[in-house]
Amino acid sequence: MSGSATHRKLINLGRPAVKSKKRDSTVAGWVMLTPFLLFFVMFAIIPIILAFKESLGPSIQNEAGGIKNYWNVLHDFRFTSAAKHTVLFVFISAPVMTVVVLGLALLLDTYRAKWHQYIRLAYLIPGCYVGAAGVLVWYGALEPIIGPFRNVLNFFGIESQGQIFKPVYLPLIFAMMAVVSNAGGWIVVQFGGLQEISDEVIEAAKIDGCGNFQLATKIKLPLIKKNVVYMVVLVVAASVQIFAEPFIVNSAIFRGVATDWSLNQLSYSLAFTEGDFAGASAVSVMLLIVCLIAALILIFKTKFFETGDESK
Amino acid sequence: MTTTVNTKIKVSDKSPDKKAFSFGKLATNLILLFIATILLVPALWMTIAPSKDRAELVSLSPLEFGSIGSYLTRWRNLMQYDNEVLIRWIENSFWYTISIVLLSTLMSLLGGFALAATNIKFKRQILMLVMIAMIIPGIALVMPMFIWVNKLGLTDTELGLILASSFYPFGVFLSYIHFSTVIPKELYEAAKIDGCGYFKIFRKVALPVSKSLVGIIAFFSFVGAWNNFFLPQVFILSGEKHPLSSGLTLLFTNTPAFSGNSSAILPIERSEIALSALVITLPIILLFLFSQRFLSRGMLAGSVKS
Repeated sequence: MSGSATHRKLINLGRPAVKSKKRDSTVAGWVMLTPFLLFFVMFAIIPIILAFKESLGPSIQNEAGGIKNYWNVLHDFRFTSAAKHTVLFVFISAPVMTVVVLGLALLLDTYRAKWHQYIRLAYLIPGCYVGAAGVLVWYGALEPIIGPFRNVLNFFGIESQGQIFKPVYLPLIFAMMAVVSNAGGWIVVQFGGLQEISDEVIEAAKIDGCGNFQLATKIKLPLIKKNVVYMVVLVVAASVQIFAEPFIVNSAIFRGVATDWSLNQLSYSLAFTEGDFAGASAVSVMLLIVCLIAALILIFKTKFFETGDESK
Repeated sequence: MTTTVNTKIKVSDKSPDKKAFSFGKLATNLILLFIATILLVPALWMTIAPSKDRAELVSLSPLEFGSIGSYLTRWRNLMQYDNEVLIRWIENSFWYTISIVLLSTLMSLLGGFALAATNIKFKRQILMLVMIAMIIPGIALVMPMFIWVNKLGLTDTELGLILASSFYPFGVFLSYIHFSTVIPKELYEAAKIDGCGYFKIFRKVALPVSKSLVGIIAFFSFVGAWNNFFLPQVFILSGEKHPLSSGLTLLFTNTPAFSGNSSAILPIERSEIALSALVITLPIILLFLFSQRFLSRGMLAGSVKS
């Protein structure tokens, strides 16, 4: 608040005609913001309202519409397994991601070296392979006959991909895909946060006899806590929406191995193979609510986005 | 020469971490290198795979290079799929992505500047909405968007796909942070006193000192748009309108590469598929390599207030 007060004061100093200047600023501000607001309304607000309306509307399966659409979806024979897979995927990928990202970021921070920039770049490379290309890279990595890790796989007795792409391993495989392709970006973020810790703090801790491990767990981690929470919330929100990997594996590589595997896939099937847009919307709305809750927690509970300007 | 060497030694002497050999340091570097290698090997494999034909994929060792000419053969084979539709997908990917980058970057810059520099009402509320929208993953909005775009009659159109993909709250947030922290308020004030209108301030004062911001927003927008899969998968129905991301899934599905049906007419197998995947990843990898400098700063700006 004080920021804008100073702002106003400065305008007062500069010009006597405060009101017309302020109006200029308001008009210009709204004109500049309009394109984004228009897109916000068109591609967020209206779709969300419409999805909500659609989810309560009539469908082929339920002509009366209403809350029964939700009941139907929740009792669809595929819903429980899709929900189970999605939750399992989130529960594997979020903690693994957190540990891997923090572990590597802390290692990179402990002994800084110039050539580590290439290491960070290498960690970012798997993030370039997403969608079909990402699935193909994993197909290769887990291929026991022609793949680059065939010796390792053979050592563990894996001779065919059928032994790997089994329903029971799928949550693990998809979680690995998600972690490997997204960890690089998060490592850059967390490493950046670690670099912001002042050298004096680190030196003081070292003089007090802090070893590298203690330094990492007792000093550095607590200082980047906010960034960690930010990452965890965003990872969870994104993981809940998993679609591409199971969809591509199922439709292109091993047909039928992951049909309606995740909730978003179920929503897709409901809409495009069964024409049940009410049911599809109901699933979407439920997933959206989970993400909305995550967003609200992040903004209001952790005050992550309080910038100096606003909090004053 | 000698002086440089000397200074170098002196500098390294001062740094406590580099003073002596440390087992911890060696172990750390080995771990970091090992993980980097593990991550790069599959990507390398995919890059080499098109250099080999079907038999060589099995007979040569996985990371052994076949021949350069083989890439050309793979490419010719890929062209046999659906009347060279791959070329169309590449063109589509480029022009969709470039349109999306232009639209979303412009909107982000203007919107972020308006929120940071002007005195509009409801600023805080709008910012809150931007943040909520930024945290909700884009995928969450795809089905709702589809229902709406379908009502507008824009499904299976390039326009619908481009417009829907251009909604980019993260860009607005980045640009808001930049314009409100990096550029000192006094600069705006000075410009105003000089009689500059806000559009002029934006063009003449704010933009010229914000090249890195423009780069960062455009970079993230490019990567997001190029790689987006769910949106085109849902929005686009006709084969030739797909971008590479969803098109490749069609290619994987409709060719004998993975079904193991070698009697199929199309000569598209794993080497060809690997080449197609190379085509979609190459622009992104080049972009990563060339914009490394922007990257760390940009990702940081999104998470930590400067």
